[in-house]
Amino acid sequence: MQTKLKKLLVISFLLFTTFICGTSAEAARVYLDITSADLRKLPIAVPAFTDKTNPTALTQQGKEMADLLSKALVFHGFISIIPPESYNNDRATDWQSIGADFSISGSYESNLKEVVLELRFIDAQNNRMVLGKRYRTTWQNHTSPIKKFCDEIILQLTGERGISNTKITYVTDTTGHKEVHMVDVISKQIRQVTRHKSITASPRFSPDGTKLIYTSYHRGNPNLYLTDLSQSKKTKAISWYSGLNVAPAWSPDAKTLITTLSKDGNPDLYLMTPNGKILKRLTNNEGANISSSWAPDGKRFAFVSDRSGSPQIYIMNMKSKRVRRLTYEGNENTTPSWSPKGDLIAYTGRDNGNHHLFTIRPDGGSPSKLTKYWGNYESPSWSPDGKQIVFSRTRNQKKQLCTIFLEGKGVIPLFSLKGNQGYPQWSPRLAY
Amino acid sequence: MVKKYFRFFASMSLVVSVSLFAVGCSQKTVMTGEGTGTGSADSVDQADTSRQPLEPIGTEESLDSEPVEDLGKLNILEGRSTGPMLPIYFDFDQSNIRVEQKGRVENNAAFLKDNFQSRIVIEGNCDERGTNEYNMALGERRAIGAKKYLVNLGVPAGRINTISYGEERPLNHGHDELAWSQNRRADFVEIR
Repeated sequence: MQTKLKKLLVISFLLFTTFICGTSAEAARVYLDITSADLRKLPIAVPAFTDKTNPTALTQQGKEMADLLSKALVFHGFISIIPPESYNNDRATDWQSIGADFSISGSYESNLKEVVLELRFIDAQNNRMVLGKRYRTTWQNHTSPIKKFCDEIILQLTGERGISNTKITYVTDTTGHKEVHMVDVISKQIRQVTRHKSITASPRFSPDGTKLIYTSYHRGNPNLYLTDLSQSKKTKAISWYSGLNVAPAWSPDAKTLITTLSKDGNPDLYLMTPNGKILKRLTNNEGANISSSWAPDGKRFAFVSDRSGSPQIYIMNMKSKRVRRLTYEGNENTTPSWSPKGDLIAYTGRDNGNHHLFTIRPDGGSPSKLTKYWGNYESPSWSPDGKQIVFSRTRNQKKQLCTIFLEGKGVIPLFSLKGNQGYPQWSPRLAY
Repeated sequence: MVKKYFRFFASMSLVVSVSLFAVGCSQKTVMTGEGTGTGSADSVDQADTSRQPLEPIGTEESLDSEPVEDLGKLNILEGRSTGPMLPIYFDFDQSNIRVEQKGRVENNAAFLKDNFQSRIVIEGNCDERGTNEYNMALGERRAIGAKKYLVNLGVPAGRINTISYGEERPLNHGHDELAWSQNRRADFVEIR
C-alpha cells in the first residue's frame, strides 16, 4: 500500500514538473526508480489504433500497431499491458476503473503514399496528455515512429531513452553452417547476414550500428571481415594474417579496433584501423590474449589472458599500457563486457563446473553472481541503456539466447529457434 | 643424395620464405593460392584451375560463398589427422603437450622428415566447455605448441601452418568426458 502511494506521489510529481516546468526542469525531475525490487509493474492500456477515416472500426492494422507499441513498452521490464480483450478494445473505456495508470491513444490516416500517425500518452488519473506526437511515415517504415514513441515514453518515465530500436547479432547453426544473423529485439524479425557456408564467429556492431565486423573461415583461415548493413550482398576482408584474426572490439570513437592475431606465433592483441592496418601490438607473448572490451571512455579495455596459468580478466590502460589483473576468484573467467555506463564489467566465470554470469566493478572488489539457475551461461553483452544483458544459455545440449535484467530475477529467452545460438552482441541505439 | 635433399630444402625454404614475406609484410598482396577455392588460405596450389577463382582477398566479395571442401579427407587414421600421423590430446584448459603424447609428435616428425615434400596444417581444437572466444585462442596455442615441438625435432617451420577451430568443429558431438577428451585435440593434416 505504502509502495503504491509512494509511486503515485512520484508520478504526480513527475507529471507536475512536466506540465509546469516543461523540459527545462530536466534536472529537477523525479523519475520512477525502475531498479527498485519492490516496484509493481506500471499498468498501461494500449487499445488498437483508430483509422481516422473509419473511427468506429477495429482494423487489423490498428491492432498490429498497438501490439507493437505494447511489446516495445513491455520489453523495458517495468510496464505491464492491460489485455485489450479485457475491455473489448473500447477506446472510450474509463482507464482508471480498469486499473490503468496510463493509456495510449493512437490513430492513423493513410493514403497511397504515406501514413500519418498521431500518438498520445495519457495519464489515466486526470486524463491529461503527458506526451503527444505526430509522425509522417510510410507503411514500409511505420514501425520506426512507433518504437520512437515508446522510447520517448520510457524517457519521460525513467529519465533515459528506451532501447526499442536495437538489434542483437549472433551466430547460429540453423542453416547447417555457422552464420552471422541479427534480430530486432521487439519484432523478433531475423536477418541472415552471412551466407559463407562455413564457420563465422564474434560479430560486432560498429559504434553507430551501421556496420558489422566478424570472423569467417570460408577461405580456410579465420579472417576478419567488415560488411556494411545498409546492403546485404557484399563484404570485405580487412585482416587475413596467417592464423587467428578474431574477437574484434571497436573503440568507442570508431577509429580503431583491438583484435587477436597469432601471426607472430602467439595469440596477442593488436590495435588496428577498421581497414586492417596494424597500429600497435598491445600484448607480447604472455599466454593467450583475447576477448577485448573497451571502457565507454575509450581509455581502458578489459581482456582475457591465461598468462597466470588460468584464463582471467585483465584491464589495460591505453596510455600507459599498464596491465592490472581484475579477477581472482575461480580458475576460468572470460568474455568481459564493459557496461555502457562504465560502472561494471560482466563476464563468464566457471563456478562448480558450470559457467555463470558475474559482474564486478572495474576497480575490483568482490564479484556478484547474476545467474543462479541450472545450465551454462556465457558471453554477456549489455543493452545500450545498461539495464539488461544478453547471453547464451545451454540447457539439454541446446544453446539459446536469453536476456536478464541487471536488477531482475528471471532469465527471459529472446526467441525460440532451432539449433544453437552463440556470440551475442547488443547493438547501440540505431537510427529510427 | 643428401646433397640433393639439401638443395631441395634450400629452394623449398626460399619459396616458403618468399611466400611468407608476401603474407607477413604486405597483407594487401593478392595471394594466388586463395584463388583455388579449396578453402585453404595458405595453400600455394596453383594447378587447380577447375573452379572459378574467388575475388582477390581484401577486395569486395560476396556474402554468399561456395561451401568449403574438407581438407585431408583421405587416409585418416585417427581424429582428422592424415595417416600415418596421429593427433595429440590435451588436458582441460591446457595447451602444453602431455608426456605420453610426445611419442606421437615424434612419430609425426619422423614421417614429415621422410616425406620432405609434405606440408601440413596443424588444427587446434577444444571441447565445448568454456567460452567460444577463449577456446579459439586456446586451440591456437595447442596448434602452435605442436608446431614448435615439430620444429624442435627438425621439421622446417615453413612446412607447417596452424589453424584453430576452437570449439566450433567438434569431432565427437557428445557431451560427456569421453567426447570432451577426444575434442581437446590437435590434428596433423597434410595439405594436398
